[in-house]
Amino acid sequence: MTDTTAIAKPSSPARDDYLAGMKTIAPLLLVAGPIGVLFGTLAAQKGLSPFEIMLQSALVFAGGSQFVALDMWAEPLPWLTIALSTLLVNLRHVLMSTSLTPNTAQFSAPQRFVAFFFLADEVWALSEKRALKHGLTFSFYMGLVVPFYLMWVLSSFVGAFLGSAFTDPASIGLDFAFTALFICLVMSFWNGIHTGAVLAASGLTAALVHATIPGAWYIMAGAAAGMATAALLARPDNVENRRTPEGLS
Amino acid sequence: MMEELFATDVMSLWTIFLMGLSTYVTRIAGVYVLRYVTLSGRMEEALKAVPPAIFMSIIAPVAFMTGPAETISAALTAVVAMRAPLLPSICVGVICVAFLRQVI
Repeated sequence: MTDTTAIAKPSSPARDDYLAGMKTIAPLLLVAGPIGVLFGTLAAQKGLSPFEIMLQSALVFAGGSQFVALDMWAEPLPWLTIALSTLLVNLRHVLMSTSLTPNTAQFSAPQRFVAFFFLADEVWALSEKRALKHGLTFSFYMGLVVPFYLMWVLSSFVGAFLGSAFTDPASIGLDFAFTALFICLVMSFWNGIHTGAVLAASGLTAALVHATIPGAWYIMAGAAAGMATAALLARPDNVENRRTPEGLS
Repeated sequence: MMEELFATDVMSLWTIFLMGLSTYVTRIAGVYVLRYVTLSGRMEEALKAVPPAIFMSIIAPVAFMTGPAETISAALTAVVAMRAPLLPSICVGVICVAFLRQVI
């Protein structure tokens, strides 16, 4: 492990960063595992073979859009609708990669192209959090990605065989794990009343749009409302203030 | 057994490929956005608000519009998350929602 990041940050060698990344992602592996198993199980019930399930998890690596695609999976396969829905559900990643790009100054261009293939919500959130206090290295990023990616692909493969084990995940509250995870992530970004205003705007907008417009537009609408609120509340002398997330051990 | 394991067809492969391509396009697009746009202070504030705003948007339909079990569990999870680490907080939310769905 002797890449350029070690030269850029002599006090924190690449190997330490990689291990720090693995340590940071560890709790989320326990969250991603059951969700991956759930995905594999539902996909198998839709008639996908274990190979197809693993291929989808490996090539797409975006849980939300994979569940949405499953919902539409039928014969004959509506491939264009599925592809467009995937694009729509994942449009938020444009904002995420835009927001993360300035924090990847220590990445080489090829490293960035590889790294952003794996830019799942959780990877992005933890990378932004890391960038606040330590600066983000490619080694740390890959420390997050490798275990998380392997867990997602392998757990969906396991789910493909479990078949009927989780016939009703809602009865044991497993479907709520996803929501609970995002609630915890929101709380880690809390930084006073401004955050409250942003959350109120995006939450209300998302709920309204979700109730009135079909599809995944509510995520983009809620994000836009939150961004507009933050822009309106910004004071010119205040733009250097950084949010300070806590929690998320 | 092996044939079932690897069963697939052209349309499924094509659909999965397009899903992967769509996702990668959204993930790499941000690298280029900033090359053509210069950020003002206001835009930077807006960009910083993206993470919590997106998380809130994903949460909102489940937390506010599904039922009392989900709303109460979401509120409890938020309160617990202020003090407790990630995994215990998620467990509290999941157990709470499972319990309330039986009771309500």
